[in-house]
Amino acid sequence: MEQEEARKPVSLLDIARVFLLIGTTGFGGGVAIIALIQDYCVVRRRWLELDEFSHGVAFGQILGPFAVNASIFVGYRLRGLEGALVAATSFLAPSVILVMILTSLYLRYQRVPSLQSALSAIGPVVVALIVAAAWQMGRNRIKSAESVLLMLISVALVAFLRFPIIYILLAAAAYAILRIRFARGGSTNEGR
Amino acid sequence: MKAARWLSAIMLPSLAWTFLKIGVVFFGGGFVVIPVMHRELVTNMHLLTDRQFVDGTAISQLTPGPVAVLATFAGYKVSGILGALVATIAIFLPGSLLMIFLSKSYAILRELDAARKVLNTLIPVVVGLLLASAWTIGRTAVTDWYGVVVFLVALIALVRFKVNPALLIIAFAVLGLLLQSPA
Repeated sequence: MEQEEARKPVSLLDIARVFLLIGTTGFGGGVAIIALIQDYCVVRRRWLELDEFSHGVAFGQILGPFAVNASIFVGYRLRGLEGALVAATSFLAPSVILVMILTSLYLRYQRVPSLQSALSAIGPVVVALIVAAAWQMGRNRIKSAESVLLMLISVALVAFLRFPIIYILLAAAAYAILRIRFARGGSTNEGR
Repeated sequence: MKAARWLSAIMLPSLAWTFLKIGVVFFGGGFVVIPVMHRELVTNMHLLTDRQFVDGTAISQLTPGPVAVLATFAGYKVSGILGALVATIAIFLPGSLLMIFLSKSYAILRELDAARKVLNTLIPVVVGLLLASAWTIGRTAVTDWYGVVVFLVALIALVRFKVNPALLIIAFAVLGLLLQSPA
């Protein structure tokens, strides 16, 4: 607490500078970027305590694009709403600009034969990226028969029956909430 | 040309709405956005072809940003720079607002356990979604035995050796360029 009061407020320019740097050099995505943010903001500049930062990361992780969320968290803890906005925008700006440049090139030269063959070689890599993400997400968490069943149902509903994805997620959330309620209701054979 | 520009301006609100919706379901890790966006942009709205979706995903992976910058690609394709900005802001807005709210009420962080439990049950479902979209996309992206080999090599490189995705994409693009049949 005292430490917090002794801290000088970090300037928005500093926040922008650090997150622009991270957003420009953080190739490798996800965890690599969390490590970078930790290095710059916690270790080098001591803007936050490691504890606080880890909480923010844990939170950001369940909410989606967690590098963006971690930036928002750090920015917010330092300078409130403005800080959050500056951090997230600075982090994303280099990527967004790069995507715009690459997309305009892509749309212009899409049909050039040599680019075609380069791109068709990338297709299987993208599929591998998606499967790898599924693997990393499920590896430690899909063990019980129940979770395997849930996974298979979801594959079948989406790939073959083309169910709306939002409904599937909502139904799964409802099921999860009911299950927790039920488990809390005093059942002794709570399976993991 | 003028008509085209006018048309693309008309697309902006619907673009914003589409990506706001995608932004709302956007949790449980960055890649969930792939099945959601594929369904919305390719299957439902026909804004992108399967092939363009795959190429856009590759482009998004060349940057330090999350896969969600795929929204930038899609927005640019539909309405140019303005479309790219609108789509990007829209897709990040819902999650960012929630994150700001949560950063503000830092104390709530501890009561996160219940939320985490719910999300843990959701994970098999999200994994299923990802595998389903890998299947759907794979049918157009992996068309021959060479493709199968590339897929397997890339998968092993990513999972086993944690190779940087951007490097992998560039390496296979160069390889594709070198191996192209001189026809």
